[in-house]
Amino acid sequence: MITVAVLAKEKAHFDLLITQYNRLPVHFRWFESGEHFLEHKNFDEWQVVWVIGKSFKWVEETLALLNERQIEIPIVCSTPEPKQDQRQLFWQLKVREIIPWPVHRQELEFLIKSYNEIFAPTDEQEKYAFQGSLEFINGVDLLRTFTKATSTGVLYLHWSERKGRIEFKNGQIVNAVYHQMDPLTAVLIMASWEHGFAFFKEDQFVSKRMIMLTNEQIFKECSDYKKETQRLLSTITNPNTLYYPHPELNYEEFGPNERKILREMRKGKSITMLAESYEGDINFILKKLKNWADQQFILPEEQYLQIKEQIEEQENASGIKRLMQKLFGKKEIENISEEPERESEDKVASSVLEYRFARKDILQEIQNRLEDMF
Amino acid sequence: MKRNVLEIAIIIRDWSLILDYWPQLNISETLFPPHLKHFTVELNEDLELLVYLIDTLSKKEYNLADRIIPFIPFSLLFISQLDAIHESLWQTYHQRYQTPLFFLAQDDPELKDKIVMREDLASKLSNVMFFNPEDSLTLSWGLISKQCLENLQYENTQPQQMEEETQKESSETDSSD
Repeated sequence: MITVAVLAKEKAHFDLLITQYNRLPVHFRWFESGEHFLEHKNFDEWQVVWVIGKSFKWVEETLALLNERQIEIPIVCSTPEPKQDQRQLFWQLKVREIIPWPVHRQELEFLIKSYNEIFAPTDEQEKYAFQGSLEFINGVDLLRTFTKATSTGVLYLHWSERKGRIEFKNGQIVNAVYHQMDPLTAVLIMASWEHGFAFFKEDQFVSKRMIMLTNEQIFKECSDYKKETQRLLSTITNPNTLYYPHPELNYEEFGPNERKILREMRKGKSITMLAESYEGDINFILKKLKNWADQQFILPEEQYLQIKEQIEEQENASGIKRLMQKLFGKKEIENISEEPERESEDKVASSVLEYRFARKDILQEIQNRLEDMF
Repeated sequence: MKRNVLEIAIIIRDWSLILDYWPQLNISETLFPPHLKHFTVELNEDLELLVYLIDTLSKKEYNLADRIIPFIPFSLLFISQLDAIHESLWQTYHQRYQTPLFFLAQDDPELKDKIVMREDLASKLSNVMFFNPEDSLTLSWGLISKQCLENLQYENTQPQQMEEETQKESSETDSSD
């Protein structure tokens, strides 16, 4: 196990490292600035210092500070797209390696894998104090077990591409990292997962407390979150039928993330399928989908096919026909509205059934006989 | 000798009520469509009465009545208790059929009084056929049929007579001129 001090002004950079690369036998620890790092005088525990920053100036200042103290730990630095003169300056500040900060998570993964001598993976079985599938245990129950055991460490949760972590200190949930979510929302989302697997690593290096709620308060929030999901699902009529975006929907009115969802729906997707495949806040997406369905931005299959057929019919009609429809459309509507009235009148007339008994001679005969009898 | 059958229909709320008055009736369902409940009364060796029971509680049977009522000489509306339902049945019958309709009720002084008390029904008293359940089956049904046919004859002849009278009057006035 090697330990790496990550000096990053934006915590998001550090979060990306810890969530994506928790399988590596590397412990990353975050420091907000060079000053914070230098406060820890025991520098022997660090094998590498990694300075990451968007701003070139901030990186330069931090590196200068580290140089002043003449720290002997190898320094790696990352900024997005460093230019020639910037690179030269970094080399002058005794940087061991410059890693251009990748645009993509995949690039970062590839990059880290390429530094084999530092980040070589080890056998997984040895690393975890606990490992199990989320399909058999409720997320909240899982969290409870760690809070009871007063453990300190990190619980990693993986569901295919979704990766997050929840940190415990003496049984208290102190922090959680998932995408760019705030720590509490990250716990709520991960605790609602019903697929994937979880594993726990005992670790003394955990973040400072970011979630100020007690464990019980967090669990209550989790159950409220689940209830809200159920409530939202119940308000949507037929969540299992396929929905399509309206054929005449203007995609430019939507943001990039919304557009992505709508594009996915072109081949038909049910609300439950969408909610399951959404990586972020499930309640947020359910509210959005309900709103779209109410405003008819998305339509159930039957309605979608009807509208599509109508539009195709209009498009296939010749120019003259379309013109005629426009001109005489009103009259046709008037005629249609008159017809049902006439029909109903006919119905009333035909509803009286005529008296069809015609054999009056027989009646006369029967009557005569009855008179004879009585 | 030729055998004559008089076919009539009884509109009744719950067909089994009729068994309260004539328990010996052999009620069965017609073999052929419209599969209605019916019974027969042999009035004479050459005269038979075929009565269809149309249960207003059974929607299916009530709809099947369309295939019977227009082709019979008259129908009967069975009254066991006098209430608003009979009034509405009487109205709906006349909205649907032109076939004459009579009322059938037990010869009960209380019921008679009630009918007389009701303004809307008092005028129809002549159309109510009263029967005595203590009479034999043949006697009671023979009398009911006889009364109905007489009324029917009266209804048929009345307009003709009126026409004749008016014609006479007009001819008299013409001659006087």
